[in-house]
Amino acid sequence: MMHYRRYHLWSTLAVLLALCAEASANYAGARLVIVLPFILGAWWVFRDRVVSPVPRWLINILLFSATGYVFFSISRTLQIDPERTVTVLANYLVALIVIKSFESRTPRDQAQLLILTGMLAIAAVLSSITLIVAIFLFAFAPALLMAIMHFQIFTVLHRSFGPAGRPQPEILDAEPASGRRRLHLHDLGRLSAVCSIIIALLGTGVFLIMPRGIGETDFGALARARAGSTVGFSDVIRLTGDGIISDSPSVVAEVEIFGRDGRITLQTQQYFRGAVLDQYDPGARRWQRSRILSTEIDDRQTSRLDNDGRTRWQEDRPPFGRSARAVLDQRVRLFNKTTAHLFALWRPTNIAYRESDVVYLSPVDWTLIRPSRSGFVEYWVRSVPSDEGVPGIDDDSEILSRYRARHRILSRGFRDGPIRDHAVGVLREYGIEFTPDDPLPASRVAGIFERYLRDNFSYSLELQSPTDDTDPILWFLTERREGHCEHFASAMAAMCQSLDIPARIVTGFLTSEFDQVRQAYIIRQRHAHAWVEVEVLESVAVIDEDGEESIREVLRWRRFDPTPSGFLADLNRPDGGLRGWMRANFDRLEQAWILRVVAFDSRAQRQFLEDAGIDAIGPVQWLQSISERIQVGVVPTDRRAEFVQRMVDRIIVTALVLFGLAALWFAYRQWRRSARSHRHHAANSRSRVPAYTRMLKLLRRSGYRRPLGIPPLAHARSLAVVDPDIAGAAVRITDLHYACRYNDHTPTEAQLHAAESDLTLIRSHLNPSRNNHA
Amino acid sequence: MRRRYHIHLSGILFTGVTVLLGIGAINSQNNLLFLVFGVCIGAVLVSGILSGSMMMGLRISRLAVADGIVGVPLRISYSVRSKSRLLAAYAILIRERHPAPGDPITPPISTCIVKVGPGERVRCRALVTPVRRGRLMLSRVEASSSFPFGIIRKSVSIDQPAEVLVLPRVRPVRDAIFESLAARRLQHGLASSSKRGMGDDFWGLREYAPGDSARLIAWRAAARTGELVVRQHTDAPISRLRVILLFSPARNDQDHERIIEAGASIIAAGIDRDIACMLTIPQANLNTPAGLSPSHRHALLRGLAQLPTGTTLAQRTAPLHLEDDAAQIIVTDGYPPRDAPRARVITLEQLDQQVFAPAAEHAP
Repeated sequence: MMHYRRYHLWSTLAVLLALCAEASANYAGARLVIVLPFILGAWWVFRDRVVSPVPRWLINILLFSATGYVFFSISRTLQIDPERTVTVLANYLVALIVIKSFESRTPRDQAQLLILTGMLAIAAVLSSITLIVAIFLFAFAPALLMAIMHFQIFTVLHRSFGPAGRPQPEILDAEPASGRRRLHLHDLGRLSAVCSIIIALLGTGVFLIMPRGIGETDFGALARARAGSTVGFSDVIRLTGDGIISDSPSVVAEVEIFGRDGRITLQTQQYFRGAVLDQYDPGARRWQRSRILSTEIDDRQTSRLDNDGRTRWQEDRPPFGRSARAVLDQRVRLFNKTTAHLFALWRPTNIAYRESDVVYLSPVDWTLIRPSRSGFVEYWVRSVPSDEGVPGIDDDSEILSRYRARHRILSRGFRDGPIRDHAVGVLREYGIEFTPDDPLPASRVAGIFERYLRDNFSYSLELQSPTDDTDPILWFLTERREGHCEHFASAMAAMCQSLDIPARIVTGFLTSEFDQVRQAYIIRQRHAHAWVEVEVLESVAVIDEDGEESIREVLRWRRFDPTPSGFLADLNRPDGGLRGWMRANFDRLEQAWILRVVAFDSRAQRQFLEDAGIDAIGPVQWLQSISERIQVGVVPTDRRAEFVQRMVDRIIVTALVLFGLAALWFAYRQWRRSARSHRHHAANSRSRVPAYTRMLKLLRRSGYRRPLGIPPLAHARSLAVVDPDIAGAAVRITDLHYACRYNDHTPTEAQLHAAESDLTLIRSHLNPSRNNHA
Repeated sequence: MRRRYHIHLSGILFTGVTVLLGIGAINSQNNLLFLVFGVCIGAVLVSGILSGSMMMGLRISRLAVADGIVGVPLRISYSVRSKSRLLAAYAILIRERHPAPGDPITPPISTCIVKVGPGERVRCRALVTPVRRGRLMLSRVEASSSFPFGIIRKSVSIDQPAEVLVLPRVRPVRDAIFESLAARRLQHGLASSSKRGMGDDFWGLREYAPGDSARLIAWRAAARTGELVVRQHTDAPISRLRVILLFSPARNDQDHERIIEAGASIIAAGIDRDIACMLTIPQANLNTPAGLSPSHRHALLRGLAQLPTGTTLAQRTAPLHLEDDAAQIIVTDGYPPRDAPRARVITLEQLDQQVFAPAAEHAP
């Protein structure tokens, strides 16, 4: 029973760790809380018993129900959100594990439980690759190894001694020849530790050597993991729905900023721009990027910042070279890119990254779009202050006039409505009378709106929406007067647009948290923020590439942040004390994990192999050529059926090839077995007592062949019914053969001679007429 | 000694999952999946090396096995020695490979050893209950283990032929069978005795003791002496007993086995009662001398164990010549023979009522 208890303990531990890993990967903490009592209850119930108190029919009903439900869920999920399929399957695995935890402890059922646990861990890997998941998996692996080892012992005991695995009283546990009874199961722990270390080293070796960047998407979307949802940023603002905004401290990115004089280490607020939203849809109650911008202007004028090789990647300094302007160079490490947006300060003009890829820069809203690549992304970006014009773009009157014309269309929704009335009323409070024919200075109006919202409204993380058909922006301005940054930004942008002042909402991150150890700004989920940019006419200094400065009247976008600043300061303040210290160190560990493991790509691998003195270019190129030959690629939706058919054909061919190889292998094994059997028989026939071999032949010819399964000595004795003399001689010869074969005895000359004599006697008794003639 | 690797379903499944993980890792470029793939590869390698090294140093042998008895657990001991200096062997399953097909004498024989440490010699036993008498041919002993991860099973087997005789079952026998045999002897005038017993001849008088039957009171003597006295009779002795087994060709093997079981039980009970027993099986040309030692008992039971199945015995043609003065009992599954008038004949249908004692009668 002791063996069973140990197995039970380790298997329960492995199950718990797998559940924790999967819950961390899929953010399913609530499900973990529900499942945990069942697992612990099963451990308690089965501590000293192997037979389940739950009837078998009930378990079968639960299993069938779970299976039926998952088929139904998957069919729906595939239509709505295919990426959630892994989550649905993970839920199914969890349900199976819970049900099977209450089954009787038989080897077959426990083997199934261990297999399900392993599959759950794989599901966790497919879902997320964060540090916390890795920690659970690193703890899970040795627990599973110990459980499997104890399972082997439990299985043999069960097979030999029955369901309870208890040796019967008459049977001793294995005892040493010395007579002392010892059970060294604690050595199993050492063996498991050694095995774990060796396996970890081998696994690390495979991890380091397996080629990267080769074979990617050869099999379509197979095993493409969801990148997770650690980014709090959103490129759409929805003003509906209730709930609470998350203030999660999960790190989203880290940014190193370099100015003209070097690295900037001030704990000042930095606005990292992501998406620009300039159109409000009153029906859907959301802000989005206008399609007009997306199609007409961007398609024709968007710059493609191809990584054309002119900008060489630098590890420790900006790769862009010196500039006469005041620029900010940022090195951004985005840990889990889930949208197409990249983030940058001010107004980006140059970008550099390692991979050959395309990034789009919009000339009108300065957003950076990188459609491909998700997960860990690293890049250098150069930004100029938004209040400085950029020659060739800002003085392109055609672009700007078209944009402004389009903007008048966009702002039509607010022009004749209660929001305009409210905006006029606000201006009146601040001593400005609005007349439609006398346009007001945009900067002044925007400043008044900003001050108005900051001084008269309060911040709340709680999400609420009006219960009736009232527009959320109007409801916020007139009734609620409390909300979060999106409400503030929406209200200000709406009021500006209602007065024909071009305004847009920018979503991104606002952070002032600077990590002295990493010398970088830390961006967390809770730093997600929304603010407003308003187009104002100002006299600004424009510096061209030659460094010559000139004063121009330009329309430029200026940042306004109507969110009360006091709360923002609270949100950006890092945790203090022990919690803050632990948080900061965990963040550093996670960043190191992402940089060293998650982001281990072909470049890092090549560097590692070069440092190790291994030339990997040749094999890598060979693998690359193979990958290109079997390239399946990303298949467009309209060719999905053809792709599926091709995949099925490939799978069938692969299966046939594998089957053929397996058949060949089994045939080879069979041939080897028969060859070994021949050799074995030949070895047997080549006894060290030649008389024995000849005696067997003689008996066989005389009709006294030894039956299969009858030991030689027994057969010899049975010849007594034929002739006692023959039996006696046969027994003597067989005895000698036994001694040579099994006791390592070397026959003497006298013994061999005596055996020959016995053989002669047998021959004479079996063929007396022949002997007489002789 | 033969060493083999067995690849079974769990190993095939694990290999398939590993291949899928590799394909998934390459396709998704998920580094954690690469790590998991590497761990699986490592597990396969470690499993193969560890299980092979573990079994390589094992030497197994079967220790001498005593004769068994049907229905009585048979102990078969094994000795396993590890020649390895570093590795212990875990979860070793030891099995006997029966060479002969057909109806087995025992269920599959297996036992297990949890651990054999480096340089240790460990003994273990398998307990198996034979279900049929006869010769149990043991040929090959196999020790196997799928430790540590159950991916690959490695086995080591040796050829160690041995023959174990399984004796027929001995059941408790009614006392009445021997009493009736004694009575028959007296009836035929073959014996008298100077011992007290339950016979018919007068032996003497004694004082009445509480519990004596009222029918035994000698009233006339009691009237003369004025005290209650009871009669005592002589014993009807059996000093030698011949057990004759006759098999009918019309019966099946199961009936024959019952006859053999009855014969064995009578012989064992008789020898236990200090009666010299002989065994006669005309159809097998078996006619043993009398004896009452434990070794003679064992020899008779061994003779019964080696008896071929009843259906292979020749039909009896010669008459029974039972001319000695031993008590005779014929156990048959056919018609009662007519050429043995002195013998007590018990047919198959009478075994339970007249031979075998119910369990309570001989309960401790």
